[in-house]
Amino acid sequence: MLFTDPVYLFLFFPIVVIGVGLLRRYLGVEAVLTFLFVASCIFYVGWGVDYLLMMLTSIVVNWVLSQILLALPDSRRGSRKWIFWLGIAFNISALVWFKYSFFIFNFSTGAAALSAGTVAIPVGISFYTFQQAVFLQDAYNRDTHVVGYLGNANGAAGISRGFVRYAAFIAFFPQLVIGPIVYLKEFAPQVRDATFGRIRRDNLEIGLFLLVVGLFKKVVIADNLARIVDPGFQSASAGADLNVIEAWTSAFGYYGQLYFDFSGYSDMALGAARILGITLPINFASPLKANSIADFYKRWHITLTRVIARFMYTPISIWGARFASTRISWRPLRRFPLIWLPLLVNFEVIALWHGAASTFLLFGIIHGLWYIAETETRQTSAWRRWKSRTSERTRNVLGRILFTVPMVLCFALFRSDGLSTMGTLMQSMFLLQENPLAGIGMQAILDAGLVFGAMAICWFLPNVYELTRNFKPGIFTWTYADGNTGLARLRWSPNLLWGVVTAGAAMATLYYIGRLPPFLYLGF
Amino acid sequence: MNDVPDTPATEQHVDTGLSVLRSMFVAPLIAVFGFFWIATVAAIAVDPLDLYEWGTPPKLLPDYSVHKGRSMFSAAARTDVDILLIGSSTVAAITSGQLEEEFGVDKAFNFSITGPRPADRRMILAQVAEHSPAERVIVSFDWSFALPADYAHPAVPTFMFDDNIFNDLRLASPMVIGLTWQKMLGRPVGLSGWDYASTMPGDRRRYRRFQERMAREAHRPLPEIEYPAPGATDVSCSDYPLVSEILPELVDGLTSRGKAVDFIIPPYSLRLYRTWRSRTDEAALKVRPFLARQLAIRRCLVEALGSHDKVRIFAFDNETWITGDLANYRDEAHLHEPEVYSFMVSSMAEGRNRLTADNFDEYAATLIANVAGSTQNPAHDEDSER
Repeated sequence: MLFTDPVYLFLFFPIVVIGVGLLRRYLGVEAVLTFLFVASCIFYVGWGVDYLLMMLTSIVVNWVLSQILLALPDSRRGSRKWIFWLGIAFNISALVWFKYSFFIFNFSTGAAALSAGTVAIPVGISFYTFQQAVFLQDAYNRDTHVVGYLGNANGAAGISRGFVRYAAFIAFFPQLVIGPIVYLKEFAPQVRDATFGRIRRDNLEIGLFLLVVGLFKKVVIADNLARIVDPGFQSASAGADLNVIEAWTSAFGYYGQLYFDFSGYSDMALGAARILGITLPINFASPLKANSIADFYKRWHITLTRVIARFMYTPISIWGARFASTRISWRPLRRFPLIWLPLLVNFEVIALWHGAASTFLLFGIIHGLWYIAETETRQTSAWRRWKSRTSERTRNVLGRILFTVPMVLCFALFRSDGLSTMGTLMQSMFLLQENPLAGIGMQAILDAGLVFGAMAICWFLPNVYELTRNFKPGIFTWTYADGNTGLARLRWSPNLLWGVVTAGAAMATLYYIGRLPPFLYLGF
Repeated sequence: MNDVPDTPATEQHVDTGLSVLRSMFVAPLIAVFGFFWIATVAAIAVDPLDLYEWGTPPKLLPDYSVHKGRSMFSAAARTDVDILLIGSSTVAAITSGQLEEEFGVDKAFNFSITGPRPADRRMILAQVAEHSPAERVIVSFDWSFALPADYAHPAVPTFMFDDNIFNDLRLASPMVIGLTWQKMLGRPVGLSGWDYASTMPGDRRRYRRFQERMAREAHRPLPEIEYPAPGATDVSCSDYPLVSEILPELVDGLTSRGKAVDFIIPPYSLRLYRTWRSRTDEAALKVRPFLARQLAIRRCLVEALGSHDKVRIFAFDNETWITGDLANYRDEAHLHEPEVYSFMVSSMAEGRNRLTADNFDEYAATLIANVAGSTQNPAHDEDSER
């Protein structure tokens, strides 16, 4: 079920909210968790019974392994380590199988189509797999939240209670399909809170606001941008020249579309969870306002970045530090295992997580090298001198200007169905075709206006979490500088005026609600 | 990483239960969502699209609409016409007027939607078999019949035709709500038609760009492909259950109600057969190798229905003045020339260009030879403005 589906909005979610409220009042927390687990299965089964069974299998396997990890005494370190890596291997192999089997089989038969979108990937598999991998590590480390949340596993009642709690956490429908990827230490304390499951006015207000903003971003902005973007990329894919305006509009349009689509989903996830009494971690913090690639990845798909950093970057970096200190005597070269290698691996894994495509491969390489170049530049004395001579505002503005166009190009590559498509698009963008101005008409100018209107929203307005900052809308993973000038000072408040504005956004959303296009990240 | 945040608002609002609805912020939202809820339930109760037993068919105004196609499924199947064309974008430009004039009937209707897939075809044909008063049904037999039978277009409203009434909440749209209102007021309900001419500027642009591109690539050799043997005997129609099993059942449903059925194979440019493999979308990959699979499903169609006395199959692929001249196309698959459509419709009306079991091998051999021979792009008039 999609968050934008009227069946979800007008039937499923209201029933869940009422059900949770009643169960919490009359039967307690365990009943609420059981109900949420069942509701999550109903939410998910729309994509196929086989996918649901697959998810349940994954949940059972990980839960069993986590129970063994918790049950084994520390003295059996080897066994515990073996069990842990078995679980990680299970999770990773499931991911690799579904994301790469099509590619591997086709490649082995010589008919390689290095293209994503050709694999039937179970919806949400990446997100619930990552979440469970993190959980397994927490169980391995005997994290207090894991031990406390699962409770005593003695007896059938204890085991079933522990399982339902775990399953409710993993399958919690607001975050099940496209994240955010939640750590148990963020979820468990809220379940133990006395207010969990009670339908409270403050939660309802902030939750509804997040929900409507997310809907508006997806249904009104992203889906209308798609109507501009898709023909542009399809033309480029067919080898047809675009005029220069269409080419730039398509590239910028996709950059905006992906942001509004994905972050809209995250906003809706946070809104739905909040109404049910759970605050989820923030996944997007105005990434299009970033002034560097390092800044961008602190703001874009934050919960995935932190998982990759935890499992990939940090271990490789630690290994690299040890290797460099013992094996490499020439100082500048030490940065290779310490910084460069972890970054390259990190970005390549993130890129190839999206699928087996040459465009993703290149996207990851570019981002890795870009990040390295930026990191190294910031180490130079010239940079430090320049930094001391310039204001933060100047650096921000310059950084944003320098950062945006290369990032737009990177995401155009990400969207392209092949390198030749990107080549065609770039030819049109950089006037390398015969008639770059041919066919520029009112429609092209109008489309460009709409795309840059959408970009202006990203650049000049506060994001929904800045707007609602006084109400702690989500868990902040990083600290961001608040916008405090102009429109960025705007703050939300649960009053009639904001109610009317939000209702207007809801009406605009409902106007388009019947289109039901899928979310871009559903395929990942 | 933060632990659970404490919410400052906790201290300000402690309302729980139904009292939460007293919020001045929530009230306008409840009004909007409530209106939508009521309007949707009303749409189901009033049933302006005639989806349920209690509905009545809306009137379908002339010509077709690809934009409103999903809401028109039901109405298209019920509309009172003599000829109903169930097509895709490749025959979308055939006008009602052309059909009426050439077939000599009072009323014809072209219901073509963009990118239909097998499951969508089955749904609409089942609806047509059950409800349509049309005497003749024309079905465009395009490449997508080579896809798996359960393949559906995501934008096609399968939920309208299943037994689950809850998912019909998706029906809600300003148009359906408007129709509901019209019907509640006792006014006749007519789904607004759409004149194909309104998309002509866009098609002209596409045409011009395609021609410019072809001019640039005129001397570039076309990619080589593997050619199937003309009299391929290794084609197993059981690999194409949609064509060999499901389609005959649907056709029986139509012919048993006295309808004649024509299949029209849209004439793609010869070039398309050579360049198809550059397409990497999921559907395109599933029908590779394109030429072999297209010939296979056409052979299976002829085998399954070619001898049916109320069924005719038409193909124009070997009219090389059409398929060999890219000046007729706005892209490699879609014709642009109205004259070509007129020729196709008149051929059908007069029974020319039929594909039968007797001439299929010759047809296949000629098509393969033509595709193999199309080693360079045909010349065309760069200045042509259509």
